[in-house]
Amino acid sequence: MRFLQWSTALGYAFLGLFLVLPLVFIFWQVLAGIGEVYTSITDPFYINPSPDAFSNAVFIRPTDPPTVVIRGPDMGVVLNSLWVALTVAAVDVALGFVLAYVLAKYVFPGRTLLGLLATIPLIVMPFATAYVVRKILDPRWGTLNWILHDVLHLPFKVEISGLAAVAIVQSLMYLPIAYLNIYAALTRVDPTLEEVANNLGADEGKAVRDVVLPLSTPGLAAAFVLVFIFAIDDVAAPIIFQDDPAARKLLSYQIYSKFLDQLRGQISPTAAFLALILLTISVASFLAVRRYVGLRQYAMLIRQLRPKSYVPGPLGAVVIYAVAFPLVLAAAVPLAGALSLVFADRWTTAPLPEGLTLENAVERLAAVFQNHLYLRGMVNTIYYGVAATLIMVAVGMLIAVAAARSRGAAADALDALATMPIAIPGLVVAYAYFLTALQFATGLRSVHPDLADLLDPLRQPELYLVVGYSVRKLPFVVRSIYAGLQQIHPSMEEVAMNLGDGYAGVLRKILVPLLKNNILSGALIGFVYVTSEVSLSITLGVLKGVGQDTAMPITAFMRERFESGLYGVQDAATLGLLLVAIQVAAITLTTRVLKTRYGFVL
Amino acid sequence: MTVVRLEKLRKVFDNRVVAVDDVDLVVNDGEIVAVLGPSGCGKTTLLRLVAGLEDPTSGRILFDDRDVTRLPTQERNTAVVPQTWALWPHMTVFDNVAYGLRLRRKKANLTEEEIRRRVREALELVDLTGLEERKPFQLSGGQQQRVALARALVVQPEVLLLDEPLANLDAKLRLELREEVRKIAKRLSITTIYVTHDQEEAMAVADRIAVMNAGRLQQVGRPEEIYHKPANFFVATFIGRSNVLKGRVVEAKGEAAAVDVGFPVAAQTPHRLAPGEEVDVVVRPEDIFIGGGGVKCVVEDVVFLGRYHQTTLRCSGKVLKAEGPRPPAQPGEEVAAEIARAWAFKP
Repeated sequence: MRFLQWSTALGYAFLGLFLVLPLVFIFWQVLAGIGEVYTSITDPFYINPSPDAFSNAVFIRPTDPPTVVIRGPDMGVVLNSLWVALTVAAVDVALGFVLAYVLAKYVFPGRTLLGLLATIPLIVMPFATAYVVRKILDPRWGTLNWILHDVLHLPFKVEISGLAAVAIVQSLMYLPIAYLNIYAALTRVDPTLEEVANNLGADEGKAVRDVVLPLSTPGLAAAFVLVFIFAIDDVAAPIIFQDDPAARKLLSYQIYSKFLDQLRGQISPTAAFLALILLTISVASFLAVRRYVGLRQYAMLIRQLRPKSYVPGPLGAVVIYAVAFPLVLAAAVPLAGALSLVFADRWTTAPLPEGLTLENAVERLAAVFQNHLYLRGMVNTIYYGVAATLIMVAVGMLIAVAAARSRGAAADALDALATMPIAIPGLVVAYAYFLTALQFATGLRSVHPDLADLLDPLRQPELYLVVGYSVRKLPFVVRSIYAGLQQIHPSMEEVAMNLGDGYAGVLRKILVPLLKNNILSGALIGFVYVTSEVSLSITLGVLKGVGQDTAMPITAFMRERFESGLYGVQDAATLGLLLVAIQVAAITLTTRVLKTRYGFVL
Repeated sequence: MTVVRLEKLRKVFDNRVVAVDDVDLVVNDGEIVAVLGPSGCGKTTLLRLVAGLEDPTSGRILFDDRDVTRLPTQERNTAVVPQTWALWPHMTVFDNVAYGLRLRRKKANLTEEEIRRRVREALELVDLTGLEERKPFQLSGGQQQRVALARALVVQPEVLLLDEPLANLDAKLRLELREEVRKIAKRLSITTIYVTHDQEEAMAVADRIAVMNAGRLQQVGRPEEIYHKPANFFVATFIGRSNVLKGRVVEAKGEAAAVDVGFPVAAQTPHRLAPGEEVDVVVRPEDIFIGGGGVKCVVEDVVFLGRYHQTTLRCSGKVLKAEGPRPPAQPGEEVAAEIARAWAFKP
């Protein structure tokens, strides 16, 4: 069918031009400066696996009372990124499993409340989690030491900083991703498989060990890899903790800071090489898990059945009330803390925010709406969100239909390529876009100066932001539509064509009406993720600076404000509140009205 | 009206899976041909090739003298009723049925009033008048099947293609609807290909049956030909119930052979057999008569199965199942069994 061939070709053209080509350009940059790359990468700053690295990981500072300092081992940029991301992934999979298991398998009082609390961390307020955790861990005025020393009267203080602090922040940020994937895996196992085991004499533990766990291992693996990728790509936590030099020794932070250097004219092949390392690690782990998950899908149900549930025994009750509830509460603390900044007079030298009033919030919201720059940021965010969502829906529809309805290697590869951006660090995309566009515009200037101006990333970053956002968040839209297509038997389309319709007509009259919930929820999720995106926003978004015609979206302003400290922080939280409102509306719409899943499940 | 002609039709998936293998078949004008075979034998692929939903690897498809092999499905004027019925859940019954007509509005110069009239007639034909505004999920399984049939018939296709259209219905409804499908197709004189794995359904609906296995047509003929004169071992054992006995040819002449299966059996055969040759002998249970002359057997079991009694016999060490209206004897008793008809096939 020609339509499918065209949509496959268009899918490849879009992803080839806006994803593969810029990434290849990075590779070319590395090759061009291979000498400098070699000199810098052999520096212990990048890889330093010596035993000394562990000497300052944990130690006791002889203060009064003594302070236990936890910073984590500093093994150089590359190894630091790996160990932090691996730790975050392991912790989140373990905790996410507990949470998912309790919610999927047990019937108990408070289950609905726990489910509701578990969804709170899905709401993302960029930089806020890191900022609030920094306030809690602050060695002098932090909440943690106030509880340990002033409330519990323990004879020591704790200082968590550097890489350890980054790991804690990321564990809190990505717990929902682990939980969602594991929950989906547990609930997808056909309950009759477990019932047969029960029927043959297996108790809860045995049936889960023998049946549920082996069948949901792909979900656990997917959760691990997704969290690992998100953690290794994250730049928000290192930025907030950058006062500690160790927190800067991460791949993501190094690429970010070198991107900013590049704006000052220092072209660095080392930055390209670091981007390439980050890209390779992310893509390789993603491909490995995708293959594994794909291989094991046979055991899973497409349609959702109520999973087999148990009444918890004493141990189960302990897990529910002593582990799961405290865990979801702890995961919700950063968001609550950030929101409290909007209502608080201040949160500076006290362990908790002070002077919470509604008037404060109203005043701050009014101030934000009266600030021309912030208003510009809001308009930018909405413009980027709408434009990128329109592109994502159009391209996503074509790719999903091509992937779901054509046979052969080309369709499979397109499907894989369209999901790939989930594994491609935003910073790498930003870096690749900037380098490619700059080079292209420079080359074009002698031939067509007007067009060169139009494509110059320093003058027109908006263009690259919109395309970049739509490429990065495309997987959410494609997967949503693809999932819908899997529920529609191809005979629905075939009958229409057999009766005389062309594929374009089938798309308009049959598929779009049947897929409208999937398209809407994909578009909503895509829009929300674009509005809260960090990596492109704080790199390409700042290319024009902070003038009247700034290209900065809200998230870029939030970074700038969170870094500025004091009252700037409260402005940032107030801007974040607007993003939270958009997300709450989207979550409510997708889960309650459209009855689809919110968030990314591999 | 249309004659469908398939010539050396072949479909290979992924360069290795041969789904349809050199199929030659003619479906005459207004005829109903059932394509019958086990799951995975290629019968649905064959139907999809005729519909234009798959492209053949080689071979030709002709409607009368027109070569439609490379014509897209939209231009073939066939109408498919798939196994799932594929009713569009977001459309009403009326919109589902009117869909094909609306696409032909310009070409056939149809007014909205004309479309309404034809949809009404199609729904009347399948006995669904009054349900126009319902959505598919508000209908029973049988009603949904009828909507799918009406949607196919309303466009007055040259060829009607039914892919196991009754497979998702309960047994009682299946019996009712298969008669109705035949009645309607005959009344409209539409050339029809009806894919099924249910032999009784094939016999009830079709003028002729094309038995298929492993991508190849095994035999094409009227139901009684297929049943009483199977072309090969597969057809003989796939159609109806049968006893299979290993034997050796004692004497052969033309289409007749005397075979020793532990006792002598007179068999018909499509092959040229020679004395001493090993053969498989197929005997239908209803062709074994108990109580007359013939081979001595011991009754092992008698089971009542509603329309008949099934008797298990042990004859010279071989087990045979026989069917008859009355129980011939009690278990343990000795009886004489006559084999009235048998076929011998080369293994």
